[in-house]
Amino acid sequence: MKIAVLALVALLMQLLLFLCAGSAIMKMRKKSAYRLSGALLLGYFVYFSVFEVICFLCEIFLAPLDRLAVIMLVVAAAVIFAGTIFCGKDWILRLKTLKERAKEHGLILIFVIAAVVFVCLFALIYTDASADSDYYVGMASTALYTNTIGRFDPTSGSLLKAIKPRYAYALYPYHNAVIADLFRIPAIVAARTVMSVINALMSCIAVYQLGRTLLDRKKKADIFTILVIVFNAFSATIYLPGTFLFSRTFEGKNLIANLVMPAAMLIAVKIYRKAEENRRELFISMFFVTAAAVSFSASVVIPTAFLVAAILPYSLIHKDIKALGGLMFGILPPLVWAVLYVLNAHYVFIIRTFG
Amino acid sequence: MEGVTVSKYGLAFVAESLRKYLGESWLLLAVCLLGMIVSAVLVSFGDGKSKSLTSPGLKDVTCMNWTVLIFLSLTLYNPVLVKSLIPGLGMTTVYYRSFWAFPIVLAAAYYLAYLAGGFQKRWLSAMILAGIVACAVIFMPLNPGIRYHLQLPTNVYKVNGAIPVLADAIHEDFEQTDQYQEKMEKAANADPETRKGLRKIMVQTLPKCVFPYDMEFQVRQYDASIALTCKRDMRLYYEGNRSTGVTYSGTSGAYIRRKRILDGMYGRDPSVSVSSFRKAMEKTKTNYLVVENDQDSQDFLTAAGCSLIGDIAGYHIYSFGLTKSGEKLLPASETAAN
Repeated sequence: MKIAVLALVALLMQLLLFLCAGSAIMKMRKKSAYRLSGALLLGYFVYFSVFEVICFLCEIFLAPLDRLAVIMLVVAAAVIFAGTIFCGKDWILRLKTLKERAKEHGLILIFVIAAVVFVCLFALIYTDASADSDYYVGMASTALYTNTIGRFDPTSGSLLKAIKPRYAYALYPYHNAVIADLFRIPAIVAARTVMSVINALMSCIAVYQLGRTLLDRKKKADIFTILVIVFNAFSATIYLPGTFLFSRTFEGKNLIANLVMPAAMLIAVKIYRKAEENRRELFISMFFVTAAAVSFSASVVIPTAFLVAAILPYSLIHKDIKALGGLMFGILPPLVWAVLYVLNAHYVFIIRTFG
Repeated sequence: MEGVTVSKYGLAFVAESLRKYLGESWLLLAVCLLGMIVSAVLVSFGDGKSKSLTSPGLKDVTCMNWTVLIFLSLTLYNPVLVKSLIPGLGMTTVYYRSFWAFPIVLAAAYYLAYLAGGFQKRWLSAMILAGIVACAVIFMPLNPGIRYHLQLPTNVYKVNGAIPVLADAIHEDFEQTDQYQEKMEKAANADPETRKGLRKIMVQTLPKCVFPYDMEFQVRQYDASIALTCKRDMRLYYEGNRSTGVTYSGTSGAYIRRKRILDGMYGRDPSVSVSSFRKAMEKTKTNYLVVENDQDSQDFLTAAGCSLIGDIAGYHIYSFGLTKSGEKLLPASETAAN
């Protein structure tokens, strides 16, 4: 019972953190009437971009996990403090208009909420014994037990000589260890329950936000969200994104397929639409999305390929050099990752587990 | 993607990967392509009067979808490029993920939502949406994750209910052994800043175990203070799973020893002798074996010097090479006689 209560607190605190981070950025962009769900999503990407940088530095400098946890605690406290002070009024305003906004959706909103609850509930109860979960959850539980970052083989417990390039940069699993350390819950609960539910919720929000961008009316966006969830629930094979959404929710690969891809598509569509939204802001958002994607999985190449496939031809056809420059900036994190990965894989350098 | 390799399929590798990727969900690709074709026709040849059909933004989304599809077909999905590049990059087993780069599910849902939401009359939109959902339910199989693996967790950790009990029993036994006390004394004087010291503290003080296949991958998620004799890829390979792309040759000493232990504990290979099994246990420093009650080769394990220390939740726990104060470690022949 104690673990369940602490897990719930961890979940709520993280949602507050993401909301604060996203709202603060929206505020900096001088947007007063931003969507809370959009702020939550942006905050999620921004947080994991920051986490990737801090965790990577801790990893290469062989810092213990508890030091990383303290650093993240300070960062989170500052973000929550600033977010609550500066954006609290905006949230209250949005909540006051909640009733009218719900009316615009109509009855279909009930089905959307039911579908989202279904996905989150599934993430909450799903039991996965796959070999991949052994590795990714094992990374968190091993880091927590040994108070180190990446220095032990998560599947056997043996000491590594060097960190494998494939796992050296995808540091999202250590976020689970940090949460477990800060909230005093087992790493397996942080990974497979707390983060699973958050990831499922974020995926649904990303899909809804994409629907709002693709389609003109809220009702159409609702239909879009329901259809995506239904199609994911009725995905025939283990390779389709739907299977990852429902059964591997805690894995970085799921985040690539079901969170980063909708966000990447959203940004690309806005660029095609020559949206009224500031283009610079779009490319900054792209930067955060791809930086967070680096922390999720080495499959970051997939959304990068999509963004290049969508925006490179567009910029060449429309002779839009600014779009090309924006793309290069937006995909800078995976480009840096690719260079480091190749050099690391060819032993130009290695990330040692000892100084 | 097991069984689908460039060497086997050549230029048909991409098509075969796509076929296996979609399976019975090919309908989604059909809807997506149909939506893209119809939209392209409407946008290109529409007279502009039927504005409700082509606005807002259908043109931009369709244009983007076609651009992405064409670009990816020339690059990531190009059979000639894939054939020459993918094996060298070691990406054969995970090539299927490249299909995520063209979001079929999102695009199919977009065109259908556009269609269903395009009517003024609400009941008509609702009927079309219900029809689409019904078609998905009837014509597409349920997600394999939901279909095969849905079971309510029995504990807050969402692991096999026997694991916490078995882990506790192993720790309780191990902490009473002379070997544990000795290792703890060494660890107390070790320097955690050195590689040797950290190994003494964090590796050598852990009980090293072998668990049944269905438990092995859950154990260290639940309890990282248990070390495992087999690494993940090695255990998968032993059990016949080739999806990781990692192979172990018959000359790999590390693999042979672990194979010998697993063969011996389950009585799978009669050629494994008691002495070779003992050597493998000693060399790998394995302390505990956990075997299903109905599958263990008890006589063989006892003859090899393993002691049954517990019969818990349907599993036998054997210890090997461990002594408790006052006890003497018996050689294999004497253990068998007892």
